[in-house]
Amino acid sequence: MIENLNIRQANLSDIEFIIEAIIESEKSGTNVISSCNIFGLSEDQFKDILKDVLSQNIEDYDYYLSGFIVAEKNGEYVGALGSFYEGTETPSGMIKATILFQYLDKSKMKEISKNSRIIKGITPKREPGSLQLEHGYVIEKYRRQGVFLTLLKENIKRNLGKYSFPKVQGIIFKDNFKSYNAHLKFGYEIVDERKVDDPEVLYFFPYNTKILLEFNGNKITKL
Amino acid sequence: MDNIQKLIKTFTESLEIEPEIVTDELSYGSSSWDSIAHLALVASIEIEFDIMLSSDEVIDMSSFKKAKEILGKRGIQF
Repeated sequence: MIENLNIRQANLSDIEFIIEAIIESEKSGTNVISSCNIFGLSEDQFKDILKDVLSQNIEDYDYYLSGFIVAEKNGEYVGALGSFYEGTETPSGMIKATILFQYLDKSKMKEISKNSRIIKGITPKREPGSLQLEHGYVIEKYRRQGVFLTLLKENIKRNLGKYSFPKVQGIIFKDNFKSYNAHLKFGYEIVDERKVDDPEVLYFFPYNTKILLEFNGNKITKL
Repeated sequence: MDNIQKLIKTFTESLEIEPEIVTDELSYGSSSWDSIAHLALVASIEIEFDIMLSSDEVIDMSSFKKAKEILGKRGIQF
């Protein structure tokens, strides 16, 4: 375990590191950046969009800056983990689509539509009223030292004072073994699994199977 | 082709679903209507009806029924 970690809520000065966390979590240990491939964006274009939308700090979807916490040691970034509340009226996916719609090239929409058909069904549905934890990232030299588990615990505890939620969920790729094992070690359980057999899906995602993980009930109050 | 047929066609093509499924009950989250399909759907609606949707309209377009209401407010009759 790393000692003397400073964990705090992310702010505007952390945007570059949060962008790194989002992109690295999308890659899940590979070189595939899903958003770039699905929306026909270069990595730089995607980073520019993320910079803009994170600075808007809009709640209830996964690019909510204030939902992120960052861990530091001696003033150096160690890791980050995002969180957002899955709304009971407007799903996070709808919010994300609305925000991204302003940035995407309309002439590419037919291509995006075609891409959406290939990846259709891979993402499990999030439960309204739950806390979602996503975009976890730990700098390589600090891995295997319990940082991610500390970030999970700390992020849930901080959100307990803000929202009422019966469960915490997260969506990851099943074949991202490091993340998978860390979630199970923390106490998450697998509640849904979605696989797409079309080999083309691997152009858009690092792996072809996503799982919905859940952490709930007494486990939350015991943290 | 009248407006309702145009809208049904836009939904069937964007969400890759059968026309029979396109009823007032069809809403975001059902069938293949996820966040990425929503982007394609609203873009197709803009093209088909030659309008520019606002962010409020894009986020509000959560069902086929809502889509008709939003377009109705833009003077498109169904």
